Amino acid sequence: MATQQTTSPESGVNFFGKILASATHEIKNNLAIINESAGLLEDLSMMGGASFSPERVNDVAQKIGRQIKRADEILKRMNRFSHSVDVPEQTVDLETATGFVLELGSRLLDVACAHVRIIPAGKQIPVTCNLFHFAHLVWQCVETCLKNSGDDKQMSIRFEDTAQGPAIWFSPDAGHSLSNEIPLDSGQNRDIMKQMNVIFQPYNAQKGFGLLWRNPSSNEHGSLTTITP
Amino acid sequence: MSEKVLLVDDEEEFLEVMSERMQARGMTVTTATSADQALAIIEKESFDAIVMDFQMPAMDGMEALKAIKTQKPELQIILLTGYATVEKTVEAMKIGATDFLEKPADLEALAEKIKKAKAEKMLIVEEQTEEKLKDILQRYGN
Repeated sequence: MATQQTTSPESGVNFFGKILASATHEIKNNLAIINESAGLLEDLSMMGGASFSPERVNDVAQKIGRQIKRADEILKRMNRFSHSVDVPEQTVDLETATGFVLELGSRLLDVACAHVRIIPAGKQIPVTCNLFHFAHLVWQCVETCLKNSGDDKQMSIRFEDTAQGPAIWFSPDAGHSLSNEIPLDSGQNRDIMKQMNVIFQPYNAQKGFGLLWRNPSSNEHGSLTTITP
Repeated sequence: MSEKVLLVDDEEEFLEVMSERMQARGMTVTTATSADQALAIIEKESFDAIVMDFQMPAMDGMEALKAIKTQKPELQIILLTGYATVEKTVEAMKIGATDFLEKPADLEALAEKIKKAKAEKMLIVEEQTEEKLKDILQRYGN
């Protein structure tokens, strides 16, 4: 009898696949526009005359340029994401790293008509983490929060530098609260959080639910790695 | 007679370029940036074919396909997609998609599919008219 291997829904591989699928879909859209723009130039050149004016050609060339820029940004993000597994730990700014995760999932958020508002921390809050696991945990929190934000699909993320350590809070907007669902409640997530020195902060009406990094002494942080989404 | 096509995609630049190229090939093209907008348009206008992106915000291709087929069963829908899995293709065909094309699409191949879709739609409409005539004759013929 053949053994069927399944991937649990919360696995890192599953998360990587979801992000990659959405990015490649987006790049296919860019390629489709570039392809049609190239075809249009061909059409215009065959029609000749007034249709093939320098202004028209310039307009199409700009369209192609914009799509190449968009595709390049997606590829840079995906490259950065792929390399997030290279080092077991790095020190990153909490807000910048969260922004990077939202950029990775931007197409998924758009398709879901969801809006995630980041409330700026106003200062850099360093956290030492495995960037891939960080991204996975944050994305799961965003998904859980959006699931509980009603039809509006609006939520906020805020950051805190507490005496216990840096924290990130997720809360649904428009008066929605979290149902009985407990985010990150799986053996794998518990292992990752333990490894990353993160404690789950249960939902409360003021702040939402969150992740708290147990505070290392300041000299335990490495130098801040710059993330360029 | 030119084919009347409704082109649905959330990428406005794609709609602009694609519709211009289709029009240059003699087609009459109307565009919509969402499935909701497309549903409102087909309520008022008739089309030989709908060319629709499979993944759009709010209502995805599968939901849109179901909604269009419920509203206008005779409409021929060609789905454009970034990546089509076999499962999704089979599911969409079962719901009533006429055809699938992967992005970036070859316009000549798409034009061919639109022609086929138009012929298919004409057959369906003819059958529907014949059925209606038969029904009228049965009721009032004697």
